[in-house]
Amino acid sequence: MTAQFLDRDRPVSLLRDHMAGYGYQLLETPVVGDASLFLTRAGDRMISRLFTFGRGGRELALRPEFTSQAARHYVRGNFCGVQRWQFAGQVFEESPQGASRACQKFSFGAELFGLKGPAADAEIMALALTSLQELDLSNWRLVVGHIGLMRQMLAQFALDERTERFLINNLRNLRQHGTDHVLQLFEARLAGATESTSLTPLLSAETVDETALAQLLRTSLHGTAMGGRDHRDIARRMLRKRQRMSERDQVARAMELLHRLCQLSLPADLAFAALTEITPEEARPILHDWQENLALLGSYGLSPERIVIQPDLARDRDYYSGMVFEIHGADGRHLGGGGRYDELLVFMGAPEPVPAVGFACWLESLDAARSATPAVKSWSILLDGNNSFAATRLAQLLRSGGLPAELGNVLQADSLVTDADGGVRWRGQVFSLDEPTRLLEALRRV
Amino acid sequence: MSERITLALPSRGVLAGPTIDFLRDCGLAVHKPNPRQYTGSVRTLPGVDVLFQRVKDVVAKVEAGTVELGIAGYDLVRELESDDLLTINDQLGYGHCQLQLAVPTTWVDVQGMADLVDVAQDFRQYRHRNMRVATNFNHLARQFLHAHGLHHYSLVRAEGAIEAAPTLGYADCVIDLSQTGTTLRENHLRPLPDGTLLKSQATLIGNRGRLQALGQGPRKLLRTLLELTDAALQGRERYLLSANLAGADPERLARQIMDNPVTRGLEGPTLAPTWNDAGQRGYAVTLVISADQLLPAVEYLRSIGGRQASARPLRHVFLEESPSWLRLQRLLDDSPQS
Repeated sequence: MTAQFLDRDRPVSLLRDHMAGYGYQLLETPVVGDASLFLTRAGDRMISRLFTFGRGGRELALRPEFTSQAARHYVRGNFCGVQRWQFAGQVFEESPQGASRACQKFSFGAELFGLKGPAADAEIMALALTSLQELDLSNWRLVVGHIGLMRQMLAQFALDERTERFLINNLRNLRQHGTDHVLQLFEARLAGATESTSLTPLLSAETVDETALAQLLRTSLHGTAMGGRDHRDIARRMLRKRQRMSERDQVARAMELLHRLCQLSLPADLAFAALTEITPEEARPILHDWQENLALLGSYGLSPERIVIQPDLARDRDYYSGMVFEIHGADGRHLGGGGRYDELLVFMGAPEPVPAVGFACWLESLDAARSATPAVKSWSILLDGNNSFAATRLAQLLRSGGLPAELGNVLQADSLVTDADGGVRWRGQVFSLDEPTRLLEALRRV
Repeated sequence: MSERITLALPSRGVLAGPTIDFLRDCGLAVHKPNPRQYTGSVRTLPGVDVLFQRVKDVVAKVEAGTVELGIAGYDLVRELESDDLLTINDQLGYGHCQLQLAVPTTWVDVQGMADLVDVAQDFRQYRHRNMRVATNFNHLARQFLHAHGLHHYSLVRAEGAIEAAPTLGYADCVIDLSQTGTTLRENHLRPLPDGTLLKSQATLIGNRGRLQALGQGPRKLLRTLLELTDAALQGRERYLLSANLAGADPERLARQIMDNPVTRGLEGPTLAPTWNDAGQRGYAVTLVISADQLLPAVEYLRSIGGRQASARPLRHVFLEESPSWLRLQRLLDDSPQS
């Protein structure tokens, strides 16, 4: 990022007031933190772009987002019940073009802790969208998915938890390269065969259990180096690998379902009709809540025509567990997004999941998307060498009236020109400095 | 503007002796007046000073710009990774080793990095802590682990033998240098087949700013030094092969020799007429060939009328331009300061 002149105060102040109106309190977080915090349940793409560096044996990172810091603050600060926090500040991601180049963006957003259900989800979505409107950006499109629904639909296949997460993380691969490719990745990463050893026949026996296998490993493995694992750890993992290998058919069927979900990128009413058909009975309550969540957006005056359902939308963070959304501009630009992440707080030390939902947007993306918005006009007042006092007085009058003004020594088409008698000439009209109301009104009309 | 060049060399460790031998073979014998002194000189290149340092300090001193040149292991160069540190030649042909990730042999369920990623998740799920990796290569280790999707680990700096850390219980696996794998095996560790972080050997490095600031004289010295090291490395891989061939048509013989990539040599053969006792015309051919192609070349020459052949190793082979010199110029041209 190069140096540039930016007015961040105005939008940030607008957003702060707007979110305060919903009860959100400003939370400041450090720019630098332990990398492990940001790595907790971050997705692979996010991790590969984390800007890390070492100091004194610690691996540190520039914050790539605020959610992890807010979640840890909630847990470590022993907060309980409903907490509404807003944030605004710079976030950093390593640019894919250069390993040592930081990519800096100004992010704002909010986190809502302790409240679950469609109303909470709708509040965060609405807060995100109305924040854009506060910044004069009303041409948005909302894409919504639901990780929780997808998980519940996958539950019928009784997959290992890591297999399930693997499939959700590979939705993009599934969409782009098909099921065979993802199945190959699954075998390479999670279900690869164990080296053939004297234990192989035993592993192939259906009856072997963890205790028996651990005992066998204890008597047959003679190495003294165990690291921090014991024979039971190794036995458990061998059995789990065997289990995953036997799940290949279920994985293939689960992928077929996900593949069908990938096809359902439709406006809300059409998508829900199609989803109802393929959603198993036990997942219906989630679907119902989701519908209610989106219907509630209407109460905030947000148009349902701008909502697209994409059931397989999985954002780049691994911590989402329920509804997820992305906001796009008219030109398809990604402006921000968010979702529900109830399980993240457990990884931060909470004894049980804490309802949590949040969003983040980037000001740079909004600036780019709002190209139609005219820049704030600054009135030019001619300074001709003889009118310093009158010109300065006029500039201050305009500023105190809420109109930006600047003194200049070049006459422009729209310049305001003062004279020694306290008159102001503008666009062929003459106004009086002693009675500025008429002038201010005329300028405001422009 | 600097008028002399300082070359930092390892004072001890596995690279120290071979580096002195390598430079001697290049025609750059290092003179060290006193074994306890930390400085020396190169008699064939007055103007080049030699500074003996621990190998880690060699890299640090070159990076900091205290000296212009240095020889160290590629592993240390990559670990430091700095814009000011230029890799002039990373294949000096000795000090080979590999930086490898190794796990306890008892971990029979771990066959590769994908398994290790799964095990790292087990550590968090069942032991509520990160997997601990003992290494002295923090930077390279982090890069490698993240690239394999292994994001939750703790690096443990090992005092003493890293290989013993899993046995002693303060690490779960290791990332360390290995030459033959014997030390790993003796400590009941097994390198993962896809766990090689990098292959390393002795590397000639330079400091960007110091080399850019060299005056005409030292620049010439530097070029000579690179010419000699390159020529010695080229010579190491080649033989001068001479053979007598029967036949009266030199063009035909030349074509036959040129047609075979094994005998084409650097730029084709030199042919000189010969006459045997019986007065028959033949040709003596002289070729520069790759060391690993010596026997195939002799076989081929026999097949086209070769009678006797002799071969000798070459000490120096000068190419049209020194590859290291060209590379260095390219690196310096890429520099923002140039």
